[in-house]
Amino acid sequence: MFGYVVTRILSAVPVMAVVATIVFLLLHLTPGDPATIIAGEQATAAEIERIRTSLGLDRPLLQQFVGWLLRILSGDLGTSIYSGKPVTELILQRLEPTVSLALLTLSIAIVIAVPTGVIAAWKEGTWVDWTLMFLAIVFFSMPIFITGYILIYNFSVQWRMLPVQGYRSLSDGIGPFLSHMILPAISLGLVYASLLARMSRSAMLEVLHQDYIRTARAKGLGTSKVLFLHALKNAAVPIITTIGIGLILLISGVVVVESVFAIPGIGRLTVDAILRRDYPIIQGVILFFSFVYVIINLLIDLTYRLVDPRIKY
Amino acid sequence: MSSTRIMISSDPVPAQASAAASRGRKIARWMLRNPRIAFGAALFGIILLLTLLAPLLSPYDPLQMNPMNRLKPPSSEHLLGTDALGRDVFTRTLYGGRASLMVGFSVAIAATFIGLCIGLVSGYFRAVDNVLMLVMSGLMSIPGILLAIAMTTLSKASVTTVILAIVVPEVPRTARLVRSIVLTIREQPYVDAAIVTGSSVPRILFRHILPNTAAPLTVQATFICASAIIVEAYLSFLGAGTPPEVPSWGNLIAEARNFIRLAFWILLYPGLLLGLTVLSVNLLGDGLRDLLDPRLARQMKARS
Amino acid sequence: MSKRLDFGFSRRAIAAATIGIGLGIAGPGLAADETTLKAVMFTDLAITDPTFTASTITSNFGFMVYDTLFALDSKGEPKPQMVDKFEKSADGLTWTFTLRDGLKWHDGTPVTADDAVASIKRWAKVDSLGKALMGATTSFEPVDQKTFKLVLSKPFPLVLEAFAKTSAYTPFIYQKSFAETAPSQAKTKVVGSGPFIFLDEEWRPGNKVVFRKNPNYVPRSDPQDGLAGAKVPKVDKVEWITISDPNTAIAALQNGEIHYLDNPLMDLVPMLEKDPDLKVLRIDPMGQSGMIRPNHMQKPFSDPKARLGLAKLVDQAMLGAAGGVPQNYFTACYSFLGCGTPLSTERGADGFKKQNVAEAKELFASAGYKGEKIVVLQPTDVPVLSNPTEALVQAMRSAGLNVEAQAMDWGTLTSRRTNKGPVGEGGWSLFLTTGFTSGFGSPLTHTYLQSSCEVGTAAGWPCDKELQGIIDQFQTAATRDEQKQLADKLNEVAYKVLPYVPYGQMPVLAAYRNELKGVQASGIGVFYGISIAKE
Repeated sequence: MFGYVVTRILSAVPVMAVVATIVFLLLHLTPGDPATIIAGEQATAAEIERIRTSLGLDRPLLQQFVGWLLRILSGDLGTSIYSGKPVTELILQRLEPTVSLALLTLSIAIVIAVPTGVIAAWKEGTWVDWTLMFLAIVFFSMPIFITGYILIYNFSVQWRMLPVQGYRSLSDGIGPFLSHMILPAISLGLVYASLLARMSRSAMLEVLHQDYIRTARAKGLGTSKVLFLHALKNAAVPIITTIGIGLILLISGVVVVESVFAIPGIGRLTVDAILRRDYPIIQGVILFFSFVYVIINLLIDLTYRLVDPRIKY
Repeated sequence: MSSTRIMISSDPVPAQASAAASRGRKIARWMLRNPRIAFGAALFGIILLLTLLAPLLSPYDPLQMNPMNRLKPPSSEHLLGTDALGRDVFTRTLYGGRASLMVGFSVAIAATFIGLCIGLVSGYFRAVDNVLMLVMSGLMSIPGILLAIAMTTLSKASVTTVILAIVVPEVPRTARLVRSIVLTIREQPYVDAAIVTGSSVPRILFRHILPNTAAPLTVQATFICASAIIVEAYLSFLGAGTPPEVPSWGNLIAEARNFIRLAFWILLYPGLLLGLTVLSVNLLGDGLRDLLDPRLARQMKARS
Repeated sequence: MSKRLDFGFSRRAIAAATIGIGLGIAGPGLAADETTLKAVMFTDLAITDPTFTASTITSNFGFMVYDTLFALDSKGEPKPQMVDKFEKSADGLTWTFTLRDGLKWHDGTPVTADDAVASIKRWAKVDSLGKALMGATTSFEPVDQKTFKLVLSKPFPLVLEAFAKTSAYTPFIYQKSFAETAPSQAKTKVVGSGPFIFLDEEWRPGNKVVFRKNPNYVPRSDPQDGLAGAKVPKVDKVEWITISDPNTAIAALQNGEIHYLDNPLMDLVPMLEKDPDLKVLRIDPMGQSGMIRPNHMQKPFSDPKARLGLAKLVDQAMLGAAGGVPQNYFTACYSFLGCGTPLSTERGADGFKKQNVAEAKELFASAGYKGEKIVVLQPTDVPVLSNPTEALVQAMRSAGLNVEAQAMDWGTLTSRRTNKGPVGEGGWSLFLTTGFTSGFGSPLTHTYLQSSCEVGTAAGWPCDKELQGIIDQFQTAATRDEQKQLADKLNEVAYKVLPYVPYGQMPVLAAYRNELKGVQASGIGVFYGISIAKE
């Protein structure tokens, strides 16, 4: 087990290295010169050149890459071209809304999706299964911003029940927090729940077709007990894997939802930075998200063993 | 697996002309057995037809502006009203489908093809496998939409850039899928035999391995197409998509969002059609997956 | 006293927090412990140095934290602001200025004449009027702690107008140490002397900018009038919140989540006017002027005939409608010196009041245009510019021009437009922009009119000796009659040279909730003098 943990952690290192290389090359091989942007409209060519030198943009690509990599490893993601603030600080400032949104979305999705999947699997082939799965595919196909705008239009604009935008920290009270978070979390949660429900259903089906479940049912054990105690426990591994894989979907969704609901999270930070060509932020945030993704999937891999003791390494 | 493939390719092609009636019955029965494919295909067919026949269905030019006649609600003159520049929403919604579907198809084809090549190479040549798969893992760890926005905003906005930007994050999944299939097939006795008898590598790849990837790749391509249509819309929505003068659904929605309170219809109809299209393609993909191979469902789970 | 007040506040804060927890959902109310004015500005603050960028939001920022020597009152007349008194010698060549008592930087040190001189010199490096002023100056030096002296080599009638300039660049007064850094260094600590203090540690770029009331600010004794007079901060805090979606911003205003919305989406203005909880105000009574700016350095618009052709394609009312400007707010304008300013004139504009595609085609043909690509920059995040851009592009295509519209956000556009190269090398052919009409009253403050063929002219780089000659003559034109004659000549020549094509005037608006008291049409959104009434 310990050996596996170490190998698995080490295997994440080259992946991160590849991510870093991709991010670096992407931003340095595409046109668009940050020095010109920083220098402003009135700048002379000499001034632009001076800024380019001070940013180290005039050095050979490889040298820039190595320098950049070394700084990242020491935890320095650089500073924003515009505000001059450290990228790490900017990310940390924006972390709370994004994490809150992601966790709430995840909770909503799991609460909706797992029972839906279980029921659909149990009623396999009936109209209940068919309806649930059709709904799942409908919501999966619904663009997040359409859902978001329909919710805003009804709940905030027409009925004025909920605020339309922004974010309130949990420290301001659970009420304000939820009232700001609920619509974005639902818009995003529906898509994610659809994916999870489908996966839960197929995972459950596989388990339900196993002999021991049939035996348990034949022995006359209560349906709910069979479903939730025996079957779901065994279907947990693929469901958790899906949660991990779906995380990338969640991150992408967060970027869109934060734009619709004006939530000051990391997604919004990234979009703003990209539109302004604020290179250090773009690099920092993409690295950060990728890092989170790799780490969480690492944790999920390791969780397998806890959930499903049959897996041997 | 091979048996399902045979079923697809030979069904329903009876040689005798007298079989026409029974053929019709067969198709009907087949469609009843596969409602998702039937429904998805029908829906998709209608949408495709609507977009292709746009010039016949509408008297207007999708780009013709008339700012003095802007934001008019649906009427007999303008079926779905007019947008912020006085353009006909019905016409633009139909034409918009062309761009969005084009992006969807192009991305599906390109991502599948590139993924196939990488997957084949990676699965067959162990030497490059590690490196290629490492790059694929790296790419998969970057949130696709961020990668795509970065690519489109940092280079010139054009339909080609957008297609490329959506293709790149989609490639790794396909490559992995193909690779896993290749790895399984390679161990088969007939492939071994081919290697021993000195068949050239391209021949082995094309004769023995490629056909086995066709079914799962078709399914995969369908899902990529659906996802690409949505991602294109997201990119345009975030201001990083196709040039605004191209009436893609994403652009229509992006332009319309400023007017949801004055003219919800500008956003609603393209949005609805976008949702329906993605739904139809997803239904098709779902149906195909179960039809082509029930066991495939298990493999696909490990994709993405 | 301040201690007791603090105590009172914190007690109330605790009470409010307790109630908040008790009630659960407190609704979209605003915190009650401190008065915080929440505003959504038209764009996000990116850069804090108003001499570094001409961006209007940075100018707004400047009026919060910095102060100016002079300021325009509501009639557009320059009035002393930081300056207490000034003297002009009989020949008009020597000016002596004395600063007011009690001016202090936010770090507690006094504002000195040294600071003022250094700041003006820094500003004069980037501003067209500043350059002209320095061109006429023999010496500009501090005399003592609070006095400084300007000695001119030739009469310059716009000295006070220059010091009171509102449109970019505004000559704000910085600390000397800051003023001595080159204006291309964007990141430096902000220490102002204005009515509000910028809280750097609470600044969340892309989300909010926070200001605290400057308790040590000594306002003038004369009442607030335009940007002149007393600047009294009446709320404890001002927060600028960024909401990039204009609909969301308006809904937030209607729901009471914010108090003030700068530059609301034009289309929705009639709806806001109907809302009984809101008021809509023309922040700048003169409004803003639309401009189509061609690139004079590259084909085809390096040829004046092509520019004339472009002007023939413009239908001002159509472009205004495309921008969503309600008809009662839009004025077609054919004067380069903004309509409504004393010198405005339509001389020479007769052939340009109707769109004429056939004539435009002929003009482009005679300019030798053969279908070369024309690149139009389209700022998709600014609806009031983006939609007219699309409408213009369509008009250009109808005249057979090969136009490529390139979409980008406004920030990118401002960097793209600095490229002087041909379109194949990242260059551009034209873009649309607007400017404050108040700055267009005099050719000397009108940035986009400058045609001096020098590096410093605004992007587009018009170059015409005759036009610039007329502009320069305004430096010495003393009487109104003289100026009017010159203005007629200027408009006539300008409609031949076309440094830009005017496309009409529209208002600069702000919408705010009724509980805000004291919002004034100051020309630019300012937040002093405004209080929040308890409901």
